[in-house]
Amino acid sequence: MINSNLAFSEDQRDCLQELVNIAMGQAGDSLARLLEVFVNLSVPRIKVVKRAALVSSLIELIGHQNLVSAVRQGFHSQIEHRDVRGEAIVIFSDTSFTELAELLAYEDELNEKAEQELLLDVTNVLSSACLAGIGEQLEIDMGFSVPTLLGQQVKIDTLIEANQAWQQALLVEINYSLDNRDFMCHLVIMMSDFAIKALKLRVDQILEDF
Amino acid sequence: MSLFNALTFNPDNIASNAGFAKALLNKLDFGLIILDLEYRVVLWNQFMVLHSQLKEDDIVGQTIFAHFPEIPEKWFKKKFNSAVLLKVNAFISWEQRTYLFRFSHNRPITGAAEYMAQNITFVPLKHNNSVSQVAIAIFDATDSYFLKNELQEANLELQRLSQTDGLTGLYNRSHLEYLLRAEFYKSQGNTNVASLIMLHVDHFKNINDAFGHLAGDAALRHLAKLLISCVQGSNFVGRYGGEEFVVALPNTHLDQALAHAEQIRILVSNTSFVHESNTIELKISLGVAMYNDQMNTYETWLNGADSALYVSKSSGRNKVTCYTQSV
Amino acid sequence: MTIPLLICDDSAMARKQVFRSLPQGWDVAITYAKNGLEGMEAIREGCGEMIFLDLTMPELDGYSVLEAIRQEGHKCMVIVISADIQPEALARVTALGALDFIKKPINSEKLADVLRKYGLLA
Repeated sequence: MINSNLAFSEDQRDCLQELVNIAMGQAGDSLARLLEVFVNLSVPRIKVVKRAALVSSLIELIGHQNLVSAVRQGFHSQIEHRDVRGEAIVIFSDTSFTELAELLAYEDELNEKAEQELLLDVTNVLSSACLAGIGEQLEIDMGFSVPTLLGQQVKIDTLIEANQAWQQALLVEINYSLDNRDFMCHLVIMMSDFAIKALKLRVDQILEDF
Repeated sequence: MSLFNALTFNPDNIASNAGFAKALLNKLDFGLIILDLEYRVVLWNQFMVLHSQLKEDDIVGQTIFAHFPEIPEKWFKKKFNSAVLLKVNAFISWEQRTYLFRFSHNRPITGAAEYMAQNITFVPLKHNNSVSQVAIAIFDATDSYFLKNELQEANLELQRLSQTDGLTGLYNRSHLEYLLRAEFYKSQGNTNVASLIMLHVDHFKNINDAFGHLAGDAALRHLAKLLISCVQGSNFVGRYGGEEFVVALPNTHLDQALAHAEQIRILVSNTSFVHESNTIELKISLGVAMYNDQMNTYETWLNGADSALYVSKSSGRNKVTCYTQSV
Repeated sequence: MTIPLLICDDSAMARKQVFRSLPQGWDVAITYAKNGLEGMEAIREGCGEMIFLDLTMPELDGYSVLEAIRQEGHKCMVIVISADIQPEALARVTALGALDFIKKPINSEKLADVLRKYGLLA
């Protein structure tokens, strides 16, 4: 199967970035209200990478190679009557669980299971809020799977399994930090090949209507 | 009215389908409740009735906390509100939080667990882009819980088996070497001391020839028991070869190790055992070596003890020899 | 009199959207900036009597631009047009001297309403 280069044109990338920006702002608003904090939003970064470069791209986006914890959540949608699937990963480095526990009104003892639950909850909140917002901007319906733990205190290259079937992946990275709180994480939204094509079609439509 | 009669979906009669939906909700094997924004129960399906012993009339209109004080209120409200504010599902997995509601599970005879393990999903019910109710679905995950426990126990047992010598119950050769290597690396470049004893049964062939191989096996088991009885603190013992054993003594100087080896020798020599009405005596030869930084690998350390053992063997047996550079 | 208007946003699409939302026949001379640093340069050159400012930008974000404007003592009328719509954002930008806040995506109605509110539409 011949794979054309799925890179985005400058216009497409700019349009997608702005849509993600708006979605992120809405997610940030919901988060701010839920957690009663001020959320610092970053400029979204968008890249299309080949399979071999996925791990190094992630490391570049995260900014370091220290041990991280990560949770994944699958999402699915229909774009132009095509089934589109992807995954979001939230990557936590150096997390203060005491802070998180406070934010999520967690009252129990902070053992390993409690830490896992906190990571899963934060991921659900960040990832699905942002993706739901993107869905709204693109005018598509989003569904989400249960978040699952990819690893705790592991190296970034263990997060992705080798021997993937896809050729190219779209990475959309946003980082969230909270004012006056020791908390920061990266949300990386990923989709591959076929899903990228469908997304580009939708973005082109939006650019046309514009 | 029989519930079975109501279970027919009628695409032409919309009004009757409401009854159908309600009846179906009560037949499905999962819990379904609906709460309003004040956390008051609006719907309480049959699964919930069965497991809580609370009829729908008993609970509708009251807050969920009124009847379930085991639910941490602040945390639950936060989770509930995340579904309301963000308008996305929220989840609780049994793997992190075994249960939300204290319900008995359906394996009272075959399964040992206190309560039903639960997977829970909060589903915000949207109407005109605002949320005024949240549905909470509760799924029984107790089978998964049991399976995971069994798997963990099986893995632990597997690990134990892979490290153990079948006959004597001591560490097997590969695990013994793994531990010795670790002890060796700990000593490298540090000021701590460590010694090891290598011991070998004297005239083991004679025992086999005189009393049979089963007696030989019994002898080794007997020896293993004696060695275990001498092990304390961070010391450990393993079976190195057919009738060869190694005792590792971290943080122990050569002098103490020598004394310890002598104790073992005397204990073995003085403790005979009986196998099929035969009284059998055992003697062992021992070699002791302390770690020194001239040793490049842990094998060098073992070889030191082995050389000392060889001296014991060739100078009368049933004795202890220390490894010094001059040996 | 022609008002020097600065549209400061890192997204080309957003800048276009603001341009297309401008009231018909409004007498403005438009300068575009892709981030806060470019924006400050334009302001120092007198191109920013009226500013439509995004908050999330690389190099220098909108909050920092507002601070810099105050510190450097420029007389500007700033309307923030941003996706960062959390409750405290409005409070922060007005405390930093912005006139008002418009939630993205912008359209001509929203813009006209705000301009009228401050008597900026002739």
